[in-house]
Amino acid sequence: MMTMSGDGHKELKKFRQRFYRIYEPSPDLGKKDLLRLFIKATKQRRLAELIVEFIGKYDVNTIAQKLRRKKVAMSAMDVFDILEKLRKDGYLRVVGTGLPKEEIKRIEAKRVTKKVVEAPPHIVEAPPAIEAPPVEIPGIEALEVIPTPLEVESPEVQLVPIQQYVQFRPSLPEHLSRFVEGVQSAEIFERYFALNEYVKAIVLASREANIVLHSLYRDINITDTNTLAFLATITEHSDKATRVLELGEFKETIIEADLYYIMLSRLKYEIVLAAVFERDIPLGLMIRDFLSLKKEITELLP
Amino acid sequence: MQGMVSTLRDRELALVLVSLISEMTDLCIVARNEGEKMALNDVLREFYNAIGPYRGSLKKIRIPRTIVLTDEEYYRDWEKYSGWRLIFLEDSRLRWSILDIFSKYLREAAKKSNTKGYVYLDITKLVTLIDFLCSSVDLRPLIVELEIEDKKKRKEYMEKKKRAEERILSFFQEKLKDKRKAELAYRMLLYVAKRIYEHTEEQ
Repeated sequence: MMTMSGDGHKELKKFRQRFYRIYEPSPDLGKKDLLRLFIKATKQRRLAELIVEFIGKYDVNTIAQKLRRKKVAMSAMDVFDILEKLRKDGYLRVVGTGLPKEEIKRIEAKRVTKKVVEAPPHIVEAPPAIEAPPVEIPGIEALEVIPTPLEVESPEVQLVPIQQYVQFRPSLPEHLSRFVEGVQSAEIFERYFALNEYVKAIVLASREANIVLHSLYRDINITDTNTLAFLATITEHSDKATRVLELGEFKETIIEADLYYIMLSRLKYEIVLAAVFERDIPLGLMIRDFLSLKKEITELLP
Repeated sequence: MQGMVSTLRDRELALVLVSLISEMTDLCIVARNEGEKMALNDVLREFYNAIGPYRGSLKKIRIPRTIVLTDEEYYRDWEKYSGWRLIFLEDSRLRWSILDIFSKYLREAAKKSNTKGYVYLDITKLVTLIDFLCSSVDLRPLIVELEIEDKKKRKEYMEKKKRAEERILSFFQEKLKDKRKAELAYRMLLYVAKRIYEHTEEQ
């Protein structure tokens, strides 16, 4: 569990970095050894073959997206778990990171601004030519200089229109406020929207504070107010039903409607997580993605 | 050498030194704390001092630029280091024969006193010899496993490959005067050659 206080910011950045890690196998491992390892770790030959093809070239997030395109349902969290386990066993190492989408945008924006701001050549006099000194490997004293990244490869993310409603938010307890900040800055919802085209809405609400903490909708006519009312009712009934029937603790509920599926779950601090999926989604994929989403969010809870 | 190995474990030190020799791109080394960062900066300073006079004459090996950060410093701005080759000290647990041999060599050197100079001398020799072979011998047949279906031709190829391996090993033994160092140099040569070819293909 991650604490959001103290070094919470660092932990949050670390949490986010994991989805951009690029792993590389030990140089001693041949392709066959690697395949054998991944088959053992994933118990799926097709998945293992694809990961072996992608490893060393793409970051965790991109691998998950590429797997989706090959009809293999894995979330970035699942991919990270598999790779990190093999890293702990000494078969893989982290050799780099991909670049987050907004960083790519920032770099591109910088380039565009530079072009626009540049004065036409007839106004600005060219500075006198300076002979470039030979390139030297810097001594230890020059190590603190941070150069710009060497290569920027844009991850193949399909952009989807996402609506986000700005809402009035009454003052939240500090632990919840930090948690929400964490979920927003880690862009967890956005990542699942990009990964799974069937996701229509993700909502995180607090029953305790009776507000929607964070929500994201795509092409669906729902508002935070509607969502809050229905979430409170459903979770209360699900909770009651499991208690009365002595089924143990309430974990997840799935609602099937003509057009959509709704899946919801209760987390710590009376927080409710709900997601709306298009009706065409394979059930296995829906459950897998929802549980991965829940796992990621749970890790950010204090 | 003893001081270095007491702050950094021999395997971690081996990982850093191997990366300095074999990785062609700039390195960002991530230490777990300030103590490790300081020790690493000392190692790097000594490494660059030792290799400095020979750097200009290296034809194939590019000694990379390096930055050392603590865990905290790295994660605070990790986006800035996208594109850098990352070396996490915790990855020294990697199952890699080169690390096994190199860390054993460093461990043994650390047991004796005043061996630091000899270690850097060995590393310099290693780098210059590997660079010489990479620039003057076509090592592709040794690093690429050819798929030959014809049994006879395959046998011939394997024998040829074995003879080439033996020749290179004896070359290293003659220059380094030690069987284990020669073994390490040979493995390093294959890894470095592979990295150089990969790098050339990418370009």
